[in-house]
Amino acid sequence: MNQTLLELQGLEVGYSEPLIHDINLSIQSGEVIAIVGPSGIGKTTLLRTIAGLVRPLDGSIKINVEKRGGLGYIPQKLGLVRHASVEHNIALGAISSSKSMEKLSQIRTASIAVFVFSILGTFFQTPLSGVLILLSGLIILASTVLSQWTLHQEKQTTVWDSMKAVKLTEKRYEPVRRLSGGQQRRVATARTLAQSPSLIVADEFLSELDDTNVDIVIEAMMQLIKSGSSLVMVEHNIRRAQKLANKIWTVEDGKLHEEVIKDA
Amino acid sequence: MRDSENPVDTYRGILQILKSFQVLIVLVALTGLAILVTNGLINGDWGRLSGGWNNLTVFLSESLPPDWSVTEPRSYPVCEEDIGFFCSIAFIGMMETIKIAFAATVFGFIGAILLSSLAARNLSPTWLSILVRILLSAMRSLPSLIWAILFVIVIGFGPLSGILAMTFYTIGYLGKLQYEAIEGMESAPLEASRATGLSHPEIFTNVVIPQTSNHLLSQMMFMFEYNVRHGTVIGIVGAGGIGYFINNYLNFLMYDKVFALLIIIFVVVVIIDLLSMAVRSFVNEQGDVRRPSWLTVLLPAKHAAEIHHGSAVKDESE
Repeated sequence: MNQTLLELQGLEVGYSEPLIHDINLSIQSGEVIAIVGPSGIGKTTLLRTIAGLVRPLDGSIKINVEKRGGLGYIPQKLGLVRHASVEHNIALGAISSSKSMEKLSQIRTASIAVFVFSILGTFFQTPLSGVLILLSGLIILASTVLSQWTLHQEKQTTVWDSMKAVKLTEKRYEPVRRLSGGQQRRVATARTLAQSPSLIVADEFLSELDDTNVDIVIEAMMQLIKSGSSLVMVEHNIRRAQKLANKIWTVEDGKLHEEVIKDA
Repeated sequence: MRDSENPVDTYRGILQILKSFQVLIVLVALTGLAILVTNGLINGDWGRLSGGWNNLTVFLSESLPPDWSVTEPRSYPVCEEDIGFFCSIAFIGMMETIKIAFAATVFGFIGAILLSSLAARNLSPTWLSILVRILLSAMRSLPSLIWAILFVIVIGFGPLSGILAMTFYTIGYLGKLQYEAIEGMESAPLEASRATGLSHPEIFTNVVIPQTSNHLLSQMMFMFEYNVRHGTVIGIVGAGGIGYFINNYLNFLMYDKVFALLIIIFVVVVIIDLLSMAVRSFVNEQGDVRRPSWLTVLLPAKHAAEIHHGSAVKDESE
């Protein structure tokens, strides 16, 4: 059964001036939406608004996905950590989808707060501050070791599978800055695969790719779509958009028009 | 009618010419302003500069040549090392300064990195960032020398006062450099990780630190170098290190020995700078480029080429 993942009601997007207004559309699971239109018309702003990075000027966005790891975002500039390895970048996706990592992260944050307050407590000669420093310090250490171990386990499975899907296993330990533009786009795709989000928001993620790389990236992304994820992407190549998408959203004169190409 | 005769175009042409010299014009204007400010401060008495040259000549004549006896073992306590240099004032003083600077840089770096993650406006809410910035400014507003005097008063003479003084100053100074580096980083990695729902500590440890590692490492190495240099100053107020010996020699007007110690500090600073370059090459594009090594300068061309290009050249020659 199709589930509504995203619902836009009377949405108006832009920064100081509205670029697109009165958007009333929804996205069901398993759908692929391509947003087309000339440059500078507000396509990226719409994606950033959906991703929660820009506040809408008016209207509402209802996202029916998990708060942590439910939404995957591939920005136009890919958003990779350039000095870190391919594996590290892909593992970022795995971290956000891991439930145990979330709990460990919360424990660690709480312990750091206790640690800092205990150190401050020593200045005021508060009793127990010494014991609290020791205890919170031990918890920080233990949660860090545990989260590293969990991440290691994730790397063994999810990260490796994602790396294999985009054919980058040989570049596993290579810093991202040393990769070509096409390879970097594959890393960004693998990061989203490792995250396995319900809704993927991708900004021109197929641009600047040669035909072989386009095939690799599309094949990998289609694995996620088949498992029920939805993809909203900005695409300048109309022919490719028509081939991939179920629906095309065209931005024209500040309005968004929907055209259904095929069923999901 | 030609375009240049149009009054509007002539005006634009003049503006264009001025624009091409804008850096030079700004520099000249700033230099002029600085001279005016200096003139105000010294009440127009530029004649003092001429007397300064004679004083400098006297100082240099008393300092040169440097007295390298500071690198010889001290008469007391008796040296038990095989190499006498390890018992010299230069070595003992410099090692203590380096140890103080090392401990202060490490403690300061840890404190600064925690606070800078809260001070950076692209990571924290504005109210928190302003609060932390005020704290960092307060720590930075007192120079390490004043911190050293404070700690000497509170806990007495010795290296511990030096370490604490430098740690406080390092947190304030390094914290500012770090949050500025973090604010200058590309926004795309932050946005990608924020949209996926990663927490603040996760974004900081997995995205911000690796992405800004080049800046963080260079700033840490700069701070270490800074602390080594300032170790000489805080030693003067009794907070340990080579500065203690420099102060003693200055009191007895033994400028030649002071000069020898200053040369040793200079050499250590240069070594730290080279070390910084090597460390940072792991996290910036510099390390990706294979460039000729200065080590091969003395080798014959054939052997140097073999080292640069590996076995490839060897195979071709065979």
